[in-house]
Amino acid sequence: MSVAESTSVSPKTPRVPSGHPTFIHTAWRVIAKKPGRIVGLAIILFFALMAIVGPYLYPRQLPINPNAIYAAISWKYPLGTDFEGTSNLALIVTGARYVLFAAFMAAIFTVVIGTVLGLVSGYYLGWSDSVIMRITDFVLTIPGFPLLVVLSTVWNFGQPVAMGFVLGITGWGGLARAVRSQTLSLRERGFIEAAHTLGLSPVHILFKEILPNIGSYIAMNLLLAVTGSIYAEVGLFFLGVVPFQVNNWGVMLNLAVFSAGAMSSVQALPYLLSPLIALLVLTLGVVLFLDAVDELFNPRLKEA
Amino acid sequence: MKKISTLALVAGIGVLAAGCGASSTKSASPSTFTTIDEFHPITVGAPLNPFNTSGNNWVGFDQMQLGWTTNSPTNPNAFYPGLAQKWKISNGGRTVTIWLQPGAKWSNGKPVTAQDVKASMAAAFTQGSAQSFYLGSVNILSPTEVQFNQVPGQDYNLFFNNLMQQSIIPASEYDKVLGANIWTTINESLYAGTNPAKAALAKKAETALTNLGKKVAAFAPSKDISAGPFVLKNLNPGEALLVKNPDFYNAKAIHVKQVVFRNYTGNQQIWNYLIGGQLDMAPFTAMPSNILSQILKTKGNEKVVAPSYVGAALAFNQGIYPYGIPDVRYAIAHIINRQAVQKVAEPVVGTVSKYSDGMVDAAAEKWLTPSQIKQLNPYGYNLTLAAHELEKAGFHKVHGQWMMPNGKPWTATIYTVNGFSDWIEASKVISSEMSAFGIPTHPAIVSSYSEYLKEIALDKYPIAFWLNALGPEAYPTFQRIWGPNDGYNVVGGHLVHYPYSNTAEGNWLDAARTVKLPGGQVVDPGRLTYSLNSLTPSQQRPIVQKLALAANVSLPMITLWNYVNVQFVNNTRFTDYPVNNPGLLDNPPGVWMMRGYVKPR
Repeated sequence: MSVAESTSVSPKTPRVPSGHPTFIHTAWRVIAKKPGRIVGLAIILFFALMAIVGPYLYPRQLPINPNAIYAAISWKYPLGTDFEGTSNLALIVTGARYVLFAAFMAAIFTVVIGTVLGLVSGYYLGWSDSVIMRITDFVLTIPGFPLLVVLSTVWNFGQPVAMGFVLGITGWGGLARAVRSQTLSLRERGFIEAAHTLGLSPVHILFKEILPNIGSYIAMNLLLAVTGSIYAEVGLFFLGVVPFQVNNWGVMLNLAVFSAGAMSSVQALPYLLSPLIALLVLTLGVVLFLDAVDELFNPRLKEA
Repeated sequence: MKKISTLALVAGIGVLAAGCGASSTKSASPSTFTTIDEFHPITVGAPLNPFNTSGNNWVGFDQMQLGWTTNSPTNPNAFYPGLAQKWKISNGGRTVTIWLQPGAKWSNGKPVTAQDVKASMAAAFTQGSAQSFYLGSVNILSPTEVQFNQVPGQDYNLFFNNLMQQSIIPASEYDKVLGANIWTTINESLYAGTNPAKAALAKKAETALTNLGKKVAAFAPSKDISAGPFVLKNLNPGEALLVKNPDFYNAKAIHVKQVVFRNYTGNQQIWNYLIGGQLDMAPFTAMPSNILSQILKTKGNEKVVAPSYVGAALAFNQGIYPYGIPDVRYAIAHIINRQAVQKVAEPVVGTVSKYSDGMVDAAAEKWLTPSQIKQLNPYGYNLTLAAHELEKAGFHKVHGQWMMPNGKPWTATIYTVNGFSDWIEASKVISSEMSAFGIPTHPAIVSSYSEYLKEIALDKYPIAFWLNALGPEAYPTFQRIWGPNDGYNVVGGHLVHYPYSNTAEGNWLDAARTVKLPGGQVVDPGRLTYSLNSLTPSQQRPIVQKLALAANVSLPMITLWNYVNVQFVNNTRFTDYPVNNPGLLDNPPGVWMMRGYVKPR
């Protein structure tokens, strides 16, 4: 089939009829159905906002105060202070950008690589499927976290994109397999047969016909990959094998446990709890919002 | 860290965690003394061999030496007797004769003989340690009398000091690894003449010794054979249990029936043991103030302070621009608020360094006169002076940031090591101070200490943390500046200087070869440092004074804090610790027990 032919028979993207609810309206309707979803969205937006504007709220060099080391919670220090008397709240707020941006990039890398390879593998089958799946198996068999620890000794993760990339390229295997399975199932359905008969291009079939049908699964994976990546990167920082930034949540955990004695002394407990609570609340927000994402991107649920 | 105490590193601590989970402890038993090994955690499966880096032997308990140091900064030959009952130093310190303790026995009932001492020195040759103190020959004069000589032509003043601290092992076990021809190989390796055939043979022998050293370190005796007050009974991932050795030559002085060494995976585990009142003695462990106060609240715990001759310093690679400019180093010294740095980084086991003179303050006050101390520039926290120094060197400020004379903005990175929490925290504070002053600075952590040492030698770090003033003796103290790290090496008994350009030989400091002292005298600090190794303490004094001034004037490194050897003892189960005997206190508790200290309540 020539490109010209395929283009000529390709259906136009249906326009949204006037009066039809926009995506934002639909999304809000879905989210507003349950209070938990609103809370989840609010938390995610709060952290996103923190990542975007947080660093501008504080001076570039956070002030230190050797006379207020591990200070208790107070109006001046709402979350206490760290080993050099810097406000834990300031550390959490200014540290959110790296943590969230790296996690978001990791999720994007994971989803893009996993989805594209899964779609191609499941749709084309044959030698491409064999090659992609063997690579996937290889990626799946490598223990991810130990590999990250090894990589972190030779790779500078000073930039969140680098951290996100490494987390992404080590974490796409499971998603690729799942997407392949769903693609294998969908490619035998009638509407795909019809698309073949209409002479639609494979790219169109893959990305316009099959992808939307697994969209909810991928969207949920995107959010789960964000939380998974946060855990992985914080874990790496906790082990102390990556660049040292005092406002990195993992570094805070590391120093709280290994330097401040937060597990043995209540005085340094706020230093340990600050990043822990930030992580907990962020994860809670993602989990609460997942439900809405499922409904939003799953055509069957939408119709219902 | 997986935080290790930096001072313990000096003593050669291994940082790797080994095993986890303490098993049942005998610390509740009134005659069981519970402690931890400051050198390394327990490694199940590691050989019972003192030459193995993870070996399951405990210095002063089941691992003996000829004597135990008193850690005197001015008399390196002051020792407590160990397996040597007495000794004679003759021939200007180049010959030492020792007499073994009468009745010294191994835990298998066999006597400790001169043959064991000779085998121990052979083993020390395979590890390279005997060469480091220029041991030339070992002669057995009688079954209990051994004579040691330095390599001909050498006059090393720490010969006796180093000799006395070698591990003594049973020849009956190690002879089979060392082989019958070991002394032939050693003697061949010691040839330093010009005969090409003999020199080639020496090279071959050195290689043979190195290879044999690996076998010796890996050798695993089937059971613990101890000449010390205790012998290993059993070992598991949680703890090692040692029981009193009835064959120990002074067994009547030992009042403790058994000793438990707890395993640990990091300092925080040691803190928990201490807070729980489970340790009868804990060696130097870095900790924050809040943990110290928790520990001291526990019934029976007592903080004991002993002298320590180690400092933490910020060292400069002067080969990297702009750190070769003295004014730059002076300026940084004035930018750093050492009080704040010590308060944050080492509040419990550190004191603010008063003099950046290459020594810890306690040593400086012993070696220097008050008027000489007055001559030292304290480099106090003074931002005006810092700015003045930089302007003098051609630096200028643009939009709040300092620009270098070459027109480029000045930014800096301070390197430190993963797990060294005091260094890490200090590097952060200093980075904040430098950044606030207009030199954007950030700390960088290197993954391991071995990697750190490798990369610092390859000139990768312009500013890096460094342990300096490794005393108490004067020679190793100043060698931390004008030693191998500055290109000064002793090769074939002669001082050789490798230039900075020779990256293979580890000169990363690139300090000036000569320094002009305040009085106008120009000295060669590398040569002066080397001369310390063959002088008596009284002869050393004027040299030490010149070196202290040279270190202060040229400022190759800024001493930030002096470590304080803070130990803990618990008086609930035992009493009579040598808390008023700092020389003894610096030794392991097994040595205290040998001298009659530590009694059950």
